[in-house]
Amino acid sequence: MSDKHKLLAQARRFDQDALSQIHDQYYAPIFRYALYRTGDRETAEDIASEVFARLLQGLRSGAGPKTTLVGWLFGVAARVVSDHFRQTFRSPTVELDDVLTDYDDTPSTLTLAALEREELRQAVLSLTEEQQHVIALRFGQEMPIQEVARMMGKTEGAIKQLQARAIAALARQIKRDKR
Amino acid sequence: MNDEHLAILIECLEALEAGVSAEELLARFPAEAAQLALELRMAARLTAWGDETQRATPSAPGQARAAFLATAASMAPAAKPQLRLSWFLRSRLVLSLIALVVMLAAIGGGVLGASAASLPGDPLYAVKRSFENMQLSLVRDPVRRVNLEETFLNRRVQEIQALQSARRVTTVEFIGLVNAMEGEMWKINGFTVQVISATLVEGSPQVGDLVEVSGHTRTDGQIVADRIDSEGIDFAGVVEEMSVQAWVIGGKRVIVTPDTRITGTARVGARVEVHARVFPDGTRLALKIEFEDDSDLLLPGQPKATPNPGPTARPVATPTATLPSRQGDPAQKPEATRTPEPDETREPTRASDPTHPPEPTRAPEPTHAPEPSKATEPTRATAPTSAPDPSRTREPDHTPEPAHPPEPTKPPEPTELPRPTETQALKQMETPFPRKM
Repeated sequence: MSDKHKLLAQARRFDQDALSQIHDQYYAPIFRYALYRTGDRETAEDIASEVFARLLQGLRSGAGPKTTLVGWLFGVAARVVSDHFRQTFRSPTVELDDVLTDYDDTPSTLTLAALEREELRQAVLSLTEEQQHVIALRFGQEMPIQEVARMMGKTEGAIKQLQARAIAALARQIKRDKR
Repeated sequence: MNDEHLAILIECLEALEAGVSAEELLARFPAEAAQLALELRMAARLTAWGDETQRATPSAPGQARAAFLATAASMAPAAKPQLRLSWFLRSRLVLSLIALVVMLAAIGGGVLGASAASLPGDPLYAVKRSFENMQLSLVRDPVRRVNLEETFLNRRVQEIQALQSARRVTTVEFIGLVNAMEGEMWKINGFTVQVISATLVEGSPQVGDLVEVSGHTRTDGQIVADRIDSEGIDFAGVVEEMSVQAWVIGGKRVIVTPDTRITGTARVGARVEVHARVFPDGTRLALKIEFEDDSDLLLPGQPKATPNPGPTARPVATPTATLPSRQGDPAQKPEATRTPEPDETREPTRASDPTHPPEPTRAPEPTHAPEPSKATEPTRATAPTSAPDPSRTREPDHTPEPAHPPEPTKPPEPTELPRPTETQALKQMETPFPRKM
């Protein structure tokens, strides 16, 4: 049994050490995934906490991760983000200033202007759920094509196509907005 | 976007990831350069956004973890206490329990003493039964064990009698033979049991069948059956072993009691059809065993009869002879401490019952001698059902002769065989094996 499977088995028994280890390992990546998708730190933290709450529920009910923990966590994160957008679609609460000031980077490391970033985020929201998930995993998490394909249960070719179509759609969207 | 452009874009994205510059890629596909430029620029923006996100850290991961673990602790399934003890500790535990038993017995009071007189429905009744089970689990000697279980079975009968005398209404459970069935009034194990329309009767119990009764007592002392179960299963197989405790038929261990109806010539190696009841713990109690009288079915090397007049192959009666029962004279109660008479000690067959004329003894099967402890123990097989199998027999006191007489005549069909006593069978049902502490 691999270490990951052993960790998962221990987590199913609600072993505190195992759960602590899982939280330490995956909470930040899930938070960053949510941040990439929502652009809001507070929302991202809420989403990450919700993902881990669902993990406990899943472990308790038996509907939790069966083989791959990381795939299950990002899959749930995608659903929680979708739920968040459905609830807030008609009443966006994120202000541009918040997006800019919430990042604790120095100005020199910023490569995107706040306006440009928000423009990009809005464009991404026009993509399909699946495309948004692929973009967040590929560019937000820098996951290799192969790992994304495994997590999503698709072929590498399918992921490449999803990614290319998403980028082409974003390019068209931005071009249209600038006219 | 056409497929050709999609393929070019996929190729460019892979190249970009591999470190090829955007300018080089645009030069490689001049016809697509305008659209490609926008898309590669978009890929760069997405990458930049990702870089920014990767530098972000959660504000209070420690706090989030603490909340997560607290939630986990509140949701954790209740831990099952698992007593993991070494052999040494287990031995010590057993010794401690023995010491406790001795101490309690010496004191003769307290909760245990109070529970001794408790009846079904009393708060201390569970203590009484638990203590009995503990006593049984500590006894390894089979004879002592049988005696002890007989004592406990007697208690069950006395408890029901006490409940009836006290006009108490409570639930009762017992196992016994159907002695009579007259309308809705059945006699089971000596008790008159009322079988009403609401009684769930499982199987088709007949007089002589062993049944399990769950019911309740009424204020007038009447036992009303809630459920009577005589269900069983049927299977066939070859008799592989016949011992005092159980027979092995087709690899299955089956308990045989004096109430098991056996037809045909019982022998190891013969094929039989079995009707048995299966208890929740998997114990099979044979209700009926039919032997196919076909000598060809004997196991290789298994003689039909041998000249050796040693102990019988059949299970012989043990010191416990009678079923705790109210039926008949109270004087019929078992005498567990009865001193064996000299002529009983080595004679496994019944010969002293004046009501039964001497019956032929059955030729033994050398491979199935009774256990030494059994052979030398006093035998009180006084019940008619304990009669030996006359099928392969000679006259009493007949000098052993070689098997296979010149003109073998078919002996009378046996109907009953020496088997373990009812008490033995009942104790195995009431305290199913394997016994655990």
